[in-house]
Parts: sequence; structure tokens; C-alpha cells
Amino acid sequence: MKLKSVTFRSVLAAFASVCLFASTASAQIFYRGNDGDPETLDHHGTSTVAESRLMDDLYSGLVDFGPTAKVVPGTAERWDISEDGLVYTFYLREDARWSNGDPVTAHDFVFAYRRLMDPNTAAKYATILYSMKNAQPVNMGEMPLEELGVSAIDDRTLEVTLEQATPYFLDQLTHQTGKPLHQASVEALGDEWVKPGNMVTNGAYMLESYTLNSSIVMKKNPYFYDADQVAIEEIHYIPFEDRSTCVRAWEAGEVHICSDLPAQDLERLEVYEDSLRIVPYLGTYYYALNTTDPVLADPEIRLAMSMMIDREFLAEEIWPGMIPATSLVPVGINNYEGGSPEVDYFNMSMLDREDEAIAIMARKGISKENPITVELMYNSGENHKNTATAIADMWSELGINITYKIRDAAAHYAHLRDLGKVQVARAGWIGDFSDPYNFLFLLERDNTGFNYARYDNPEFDALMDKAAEELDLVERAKILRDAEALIMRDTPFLSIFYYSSFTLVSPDIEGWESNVMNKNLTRFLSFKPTT
Amino acid sequence: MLNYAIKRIFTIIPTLFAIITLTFFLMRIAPGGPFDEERPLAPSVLENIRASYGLDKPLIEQYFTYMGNLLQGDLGPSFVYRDKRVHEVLAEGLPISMTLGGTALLLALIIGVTLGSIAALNQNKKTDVAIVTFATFGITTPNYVVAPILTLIFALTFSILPATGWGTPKQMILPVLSLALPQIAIITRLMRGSMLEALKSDHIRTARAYGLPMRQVVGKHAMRSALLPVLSYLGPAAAALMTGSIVIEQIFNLPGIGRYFVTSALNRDYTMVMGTVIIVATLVLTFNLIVDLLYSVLDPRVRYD
Amino acid sequence: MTSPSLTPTAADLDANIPDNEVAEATKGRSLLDTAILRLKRNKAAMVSLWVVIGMTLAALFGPMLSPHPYDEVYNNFVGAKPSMSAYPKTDQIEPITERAMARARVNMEAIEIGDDSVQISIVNQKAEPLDPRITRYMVRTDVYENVVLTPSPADPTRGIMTADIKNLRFLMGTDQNGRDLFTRILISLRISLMIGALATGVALMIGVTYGAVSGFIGGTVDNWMMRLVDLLYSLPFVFFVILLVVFFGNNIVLIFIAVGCIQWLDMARIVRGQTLQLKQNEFVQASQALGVERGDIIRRHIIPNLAGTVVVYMTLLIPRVILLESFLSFLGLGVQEPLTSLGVLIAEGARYMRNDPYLLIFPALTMSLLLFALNFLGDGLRDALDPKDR
Repeated sequence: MKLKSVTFRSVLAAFASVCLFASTASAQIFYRGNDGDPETLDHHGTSTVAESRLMDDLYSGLVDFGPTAKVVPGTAERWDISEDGLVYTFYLREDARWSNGDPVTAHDFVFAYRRLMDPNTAAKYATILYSMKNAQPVNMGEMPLEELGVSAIDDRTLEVTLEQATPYFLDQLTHQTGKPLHQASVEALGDEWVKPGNMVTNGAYMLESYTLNSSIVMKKNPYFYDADQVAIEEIHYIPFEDRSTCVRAWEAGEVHICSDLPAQDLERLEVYEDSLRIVPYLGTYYYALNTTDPVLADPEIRLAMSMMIDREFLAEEIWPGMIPATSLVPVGINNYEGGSPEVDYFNMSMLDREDEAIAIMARKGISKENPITVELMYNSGENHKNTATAIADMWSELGINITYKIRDAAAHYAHLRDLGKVQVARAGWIGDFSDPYNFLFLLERDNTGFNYARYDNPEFDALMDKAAEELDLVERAKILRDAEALIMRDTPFLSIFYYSSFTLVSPDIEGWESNVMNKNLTRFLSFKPTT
Repeated sequence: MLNYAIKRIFTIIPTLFAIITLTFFLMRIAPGGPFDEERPLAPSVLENIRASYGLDKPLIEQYFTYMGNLLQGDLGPSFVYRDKRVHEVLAEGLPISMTLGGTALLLALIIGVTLGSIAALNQNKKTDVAIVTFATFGITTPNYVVAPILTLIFALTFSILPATGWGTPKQMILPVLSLALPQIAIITRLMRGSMLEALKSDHIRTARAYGLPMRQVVGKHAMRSALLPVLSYLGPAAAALMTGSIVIEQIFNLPGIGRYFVTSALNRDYTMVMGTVIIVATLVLTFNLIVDLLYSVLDPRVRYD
Repeated sequence: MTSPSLTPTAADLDANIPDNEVAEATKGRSLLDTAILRLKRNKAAMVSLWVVIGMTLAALFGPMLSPHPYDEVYNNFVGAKPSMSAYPKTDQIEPITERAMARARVNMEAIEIGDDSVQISIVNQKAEPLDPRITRYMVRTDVYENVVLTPSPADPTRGIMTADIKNLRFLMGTDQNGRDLFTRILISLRISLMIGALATGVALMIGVTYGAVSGFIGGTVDNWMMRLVDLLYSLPFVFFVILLVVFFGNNIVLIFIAVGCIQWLDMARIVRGQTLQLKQNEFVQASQALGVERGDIIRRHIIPNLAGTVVVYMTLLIPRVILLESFLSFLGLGVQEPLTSLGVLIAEGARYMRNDPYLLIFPALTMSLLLFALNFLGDGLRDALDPKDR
């Protein structure tokens, strides 16, 4: 577990690193900190970011993430898309092999996608690929698996038919649910196929061992089609439940990567210069305002509440590293030419905004002297707490007194999902794939379970439907922008921050290109040559 | 004594049964389920998952299924580690937690009893004040403060011990110390108090009056009755220590089972909650039985009719 | 134990009670009078008593007397370090002012910093006359008062602004939301003292009664009473808390009950163990032989003799309850913002320990001081109340 420590500048540390050097003789192992252990290594059961990292190293899908998280050909070397955008034909690489030497065939993909939609698999994220023809009825058990719009024309040609043209379908395929499965071993071994020794994968790495709460060890897959370009021979994924612990382990030279960092440590960690990576992340932190609540039903009040929030202050002082949000769709997303609509009040000075917000509330008969009480609900968490405290302080100027309802995450989200009594509730959304639709769909009227604000605007729904039928990406972006403008006007979701990803990367590691998807496949990384 | 022990062992089974049954229904009253996360699942998907775990069946039916499996030694599938059964998950971590907790307990007992006795024998002298001061700081300083400080000193500043991980003896030192420190403080306080009491009791005074050597009086008589409150405390405390501590496991990244006592409840990982409860209940019942038997060994006057 | 000089004699043990008082006490002075007299003789206990009283008074009245309300947010002083001298520091004035002016959309061209005032020259970013309302940006910094804007007569886009500098003192610094830590410790002390006293009180009452009854009756009753304790001990505590939040919302009285209801278990076990031992003593057996009722024996003979152990365990219980409260707050059952408690301050401070150690040190020291005082007071009380010393 020892690595040469380059992080210490003191004499003591220099002495220490000399001692550590002695035990680094063996082959270099890449110790990669992760946010936690996976729920399962069966990618159909996975849903978290931590799991997606493992899957990206273990499997290669039809398309994969490149070094900067651009969508690049993976097991499919090329593909054709029909004129109407409904039929995708993928041509698989000849040299694509499973870790046991078997060739990767189109049948493996058909098998995987059918299994994903099989109600008995109970895949958490089956919905991601609902864009495939008949996927939803198949997943709900209303149609046989064979009706799913996927077929193998021959061993190396896969045809996927979509429900309707989906310009972001390739982006969706980068999700771990789009990865193949080795049909023979999955069918033969039952639930045991995910165990080390049994598991067959087609990515750059294969599973060596898995010790719960301790490490997941992967070795390079010699049959991987691009194995020549894979520099790192062995990865140990170390799960860290406590981010501060990962930082200490990193400073002690016990891991090369920390996948997330505690907000309060960021300033101190700046001494590590290039090792500290803070980059925008495809996600939005927001408060859902219940549009059916007697008080919050008034869009002007919701607007005033949004205007009142000094997001720059929050991002500078309360939760450093986060980015002030001026839209629901985060910056840097694909397929959104022109970006989110401009909102007038974000161009006003903060005091003018406050004046106007106070004036709006005064018209409603609400002021500091005549306040109302609103309940703010959030799930336990230090940053949530600090943010809520600061926002409550800002809203008190409007005549809104905040009471808190704090629950643990499970109770919080169950309450939101079941549309329990709520006024203002904290939530966040990290994009599953890079398309504005993946954010705006949250507020569609019939999106039960996601539309925490109970927003019901036929005009918005109509625009979303129209966008779904539009094939031209530029035209579609315009329609989606109009839809988002309605959101910003009506403020069912009050955007506060765009998320950032926070990473510590050891100076010994090369090739770590920070990106908005927060995706860095180990196959593109290497150890800095020792001098 | 033997009669008593046998009688006690027979009460363990119905008590365990009551604990398991009560927990099973208690935890299901709590809102939220194992699949309520930051990103909600589509209703159709949620239905599939609930069905695959049998959560769609009536609660009473789930209870009988669970008890049936339990009798065969199967604690059911974990909701959070879907590739494993609960007993597999617990079996991986329990030995680690027990090693850690057992070592810390032993350390705390030896140091705590010694320090407490020394303090009592030197009541209100400098040694006593020093020990009481140490104990007070030990009690006010929670684990989550001690552990990072120890790491900063020994792992980050002097680089003589690892900051995280499990497997080598070196990796045990800091976790055991952090786990033991508050316990040392508590046992010291308890021991000091009960030793003072014991020294004042009639039979010790009598023994002293007869001119028995102090060493013998303290070692043989006072010590025995002074240990009683410490033992009473230790029964449940040992069970708690042996089942791990989420704080220590998180700070040192150890694969123990302490985390499950908190996370399983927060994740509504029902089967895991049951697993942890069964372990704790078994340990509590066992340790308390041992403690009760030790009472009459230490003080033969203690009798159970 | 090894050196004979360190071993106490019976005289040592009674050293704090002069002979004449023992004599007086035996003459029929009431138990309470004797106890108070003995306590007064114990210096450490008396000092501790005053410390506890002082802290209680500080908790009750401190937040009102402090120049900073406990929930006042100072936006420009988030995480300010503890300092005896006043904020803003000289080197902070320029950046704070510059930022305020930037938000007002004017450029600061020059700044003159005096002892208690500043004078700045500004120019509007747009080619428009200066808006007189921009003085509010200065006021809002928490740093300035009496701000006056004098537009330049020649060019209305330019002007001079003067302002008096406020002196803000943060003896213990400010927290991560920019609130005065000292005031927050005072208010937290109020909450934590209340929680500690009430929860420990509940635990004490249930635990002592339950343990004494169980131990004294013994036999099958004892066996089942103790199994109930084991059962409660084994139930998942986190679920208990979650259920309380769900069914009762966040009610501060509930915390006391919840915590007390959990913490009596250890107390009951310890008391029961002691009782098993005590009831074999001659004086208890004699009372029984004389036909004294069980309840009277427990009240007159068992409980008074438990005082020593109970007091020691209480001094262990109070800090435990105070620290446990922070976990409850985390789960939504406990004090909520903007109120706070010592447990919450320590738990939060621990997170910032490497970056802003003072956020941990001050609350932790407060807690230690309180506990020291309680320990010595507890020991003194134990000695004063002990029937064996009479």
C-alpha cells in the first residue's frame, strides 16, 4: 500500500518518503478511491456514479467515453442511422473479445438489452433505454421480450429500432445499462456469474477480487481490443464513505485518486495545485417549490423567492466550489446550441433584485412586519444545512420565516415521491446523459415521482412534445429553450447551484482529463515515468 | 448457580424471538423504503424491484417467510449489496469488528481498572487529579475528534503508521487506540468511584482494623467488590464494542460491521437491520449472562434465589 | 498501591470532616444540613459549584448581553478567525469595499483608510449619474455606517463616498455561516444544559427505580425485568429516532424523553448489580427480618447507599447525552437552525478541525470545563451524602 509521497514539502516528510520508497519495488498498482461500494456488479442492477466507474472499466459498450468523455466508437466500430432517425445499425469490431477469449457478438447485446427490460431482472435504470422500441411495455411485462426493438442481423451486425427519433440515443448508450453481457456465463451460472473468477467482461479490465468495504481489484484484460494502449496493469478500487478519510489517505500516499472532496477542505487543498481538480459537473442543485401549495401557488411569490437568493455569496462563502446557477439545465450540456435562456433578474444588481423581490411580496401583503411561515425540507447533510441556513436568512428579508423539516435521505425522498405535504424541498439532479431533455423532463406534468413541484403547465408539456418530434438539433434546441424559459418564469424549481466535481489526482498519474461528465476511464491513464 | 445459568439460557430464546419480531414490525412503520434514493425510480421499475424482493406481499406473510428462512440460518438477501446474502456480508465484517473491539476492550479494561484504582488510593492527591483530568478529557472528546487527530500526528506528520486500511498489525494500532480511549476514561471514572466506596465499606475497614496488609486488602477484597459496577457497565458496552463503530470504520476505512447499524436503518435495508439486531441481541444476552455469573464469583454474597 | 505512604487511612477518608462536626452531626443535625456543611468544606466542589452556576447564568443571560445576536449573519466575515482586536482588519477593508462597489456596478478609483473612517473615489461603470442608493451597498457590508455620497459637481458619474468603520469583535471567531461563535456557544450551552439535565434526570429516575426494584426482588422477576432491558438495548436506535421524527415532528421536549428513555438502561443494570450486593448486607437483612416493607427498604437503605455509584455514572451520562444530541439533530430530531447545541458545535467543529481548528477548540473547551465542574461537584456531593461516612 505504499507509494512515493510527493505531497509533503517538509523535511520530515521527505525523510518519511524515503522510508516508503523501499516498499514500492513491485509492479505499480493504481489505487483509485471511489465514493462507495457498488450495490452489485451486475450492471443491470446499478444506478450510482461510483458503480458507473467500475462498469466503464469492466465493459466496453457499443459506444464508450473517450479521454475527455466525448462519445467515441467502442465495441461498435461504426454505425448507420436511417433517414428518419429510427433505425440504428451497429457494426461490431472483429477483434472485440471477452476476457475468456470468446468473441463479442451482436447476440450478446441483444441478450443484455432483453435482460435489462425483463421485469424479472428488476433493473433500476431500465428507463434510460426506454427510447428503444417497445421497451416500456416489455419492461412492464405487457409484451414478450422478443418484441423489444433490438435484433442481431449476424454475429457482427446489430440493429436497434427506436420508439421515436431520439437525437441523444448515442449519449444514452454510454450509460452502463447500454453495456453487453456474456450470454453463456450469465445463463450457466445463475446469480453466481458476478463473483470473481466467474465474471466475464469485455472492457479494458477484468474482475480479480472483491472484498466488501475494502477493495475491488481489477487486472488488465489481455483480450481487450485496445489492450496495447492500456498502460495500467492493476487497479484497486477503494471505497470511501467519508470523504475526509479519502483526503487523509491521499495525503498519506495510500490512494492516487479521491473521487469527491469535503467542501470545507477545498481551500486548504489548494496547496496541491494541479492535483486539486474542481470542474463543472452535469448537475443542478435546486429547491422544488410546491405549485399546489396555497402560498406558493402564486408564481410571483416563487419568482421573488428566487430573486432574493444571492447565489454568488452562497457559492463563494457557504459552499465553495459550487457554481451559481442561472438556469435549470447546467452549462456545458450537449445538444443545446445557444444554451439556456437569459433571465432578466440575473443581470440586475443584487440590491435591485432584492428591492424588486421585496416590492413583489409587499404587493401580496407580505413583509418583514407581516411575515408568513414556510417549511423547508431537506435531507440530512452538512452542506444542505449550511445552504438552507443562509437562504433562510435571505428570505427573512422578504417576510418569509422558515421552519425546517429535516429527514434522513430515504424518508426525504419517499416523502417527495409520494407527494406528501411539502412546501419547499431540496433536491438535486445529475444528468444521466448529456442532453437538456434529461433535465427538463423532470417537470413534465405526467412525470410522477420526479415532478416534486407538481408543476402543471400545458404550454410547457406541448413544447416538450414538440421537441421530441424535432430531428434538427438546432431547431430542437430552440424549442427546448422556450420550454426552459417557461420554467425560469414560473419557477417551480428554484435553481441554486450547478454542481462541480471535486477530485484529487496524484501527480504520479498522467492522462486525467477533467470533464463535465466526471468520467475518467482507467484505460486512458498511466503512471508518470519515474526518473 | 448452575440452576440459575440453565434458567437464564432458557430465557434467551424467547427474548431473542421477541426482539426479532418487534424489530421486524417496528422498522416497517418508518416511512420510505430501500429504493428511495436521490434519483427516484420510475413507478414501473419500482414495482418490478419490490416484487423481486417479495415486498409486495402482505407484511405478515413476509414475516413468516423471514422467520422460516431464519430457522434455516438464512438472513435473507441484502437490499444494498444485491450480490450477497446478509449473513455473508456480516460474516465478512464481524471477525474484523470483534478483533478490533475485543482488543480495545481488553486494553480499556486493563488500563482503566489500574488507573481508577490508583486514583482512588491517592484520592485528592496529585496523581488522582492527573488521572481524573485525563479521564475527563477522554470522556468529553468524542471518537470523531480523537481519531483524526491521531491520524494527523502518526500518519500524516510522522508517517510511521498507515492512515487507512485493514490487514496488517500496524493498521490496527490507531483504530484500537481511538476506540479504547473513551472506554479507558469511562472505566477509570467508574473504577475510581467504586474503589472509593469499597474502601469505605465495613468489611474493608474491619480487615484494615485487624491489620491485614494494605496490598492484600485492596487486591483481594476491595478490588473484587469495586469491579462490580465496572462489570455491570461492561456487559452491554462489550456488545457495543464488538459490533464495531461506524465512526472508527469510516475514519480509518475499515471493513467492519459497525457501519451497518446506522446505514442499514438509513437505507431501509430491512434484512440487514434484522441481521444487526440479531447479532447485538445475541451478544448482549450472552455478555449479560456472563456478567451476572461473574457477580457471584467476585462477591460470593451475591446470590440468585 | 505499592507505596504505603499513598494508601489512605480511615482518618484520611474523613479528613474533610473535622471531628467536632461529626460529633455535632451525630447529635441530631438533619441529614441535609450535614450534607451542605460537608459540601461547603470541600473546596474543589465549591469552586465547581460556582463554575456550574456561572455557566448556567451565562447560558441564560449571555445571549441577551452579547453584542451579536446568535443568528446574525455577517456576510463579509464568514469563518473569521478568533481575535481580540476588532474586525475589519486594515487589510480587509480595501477588498471588502472594492467588492461592494463592484456589486453596485461602480469602479473604485482610490481609497483612503483612516482610523475610523474611509473615503473612496468612485466612477459609474455606465455613463450615467451615480445613483444615490448605492450607499446601501456599503451599509450592507456590515462594516460601515453613516455612509455619505457626494457626487462630483463637475461630473455626475463620479463621486466621493465617506463612511465610518464599525468595530466588530469576534473573540472566538465566526462560524461557517458567518455568525459569532462566542454567542453561539452561549446559546448552545443553554440548550445543552437543559438537555443534559432533563435527559439525565429521566434516565436517573427510571434507571434507579427499575434497577433497585429488579435487584431487590430478585429471582424470576429480576430475570424478566433484565431481559426487558436487554430487549430495549437491542432494538435499532436509529429506527427509534426516525420513528420519533415521523410521528412527533421536531419537538425539543421529545429529545429529552427519547434520550432519557434510551440512557436509563445502563443505569438500571449498574444499580441492579449494586443492589444485588447491598441486599446481602446485615442492615438490609435485619430490616427484612423486622418485617419492614420492601418499598421502605429500597427507599431507606438501598437507594441512599447507591448514591456514590449513581453520581459517578451521572457524570458519565451527561456528556454522553450532550454529544448524542448532535446525532439526533443530524437526523432531524433535535435543535434546529438557527439554534444550536454544544454537541452540534463540536460535531461541526470536528469537520473543520484541519482548516479552522478554533471551531472545534472553543466548544470542546466549554464542554470540558462544564464536565470538570460536574465531576468535582459530583464527587463532593457523593462524599457529602454518603451514609457510610456518617
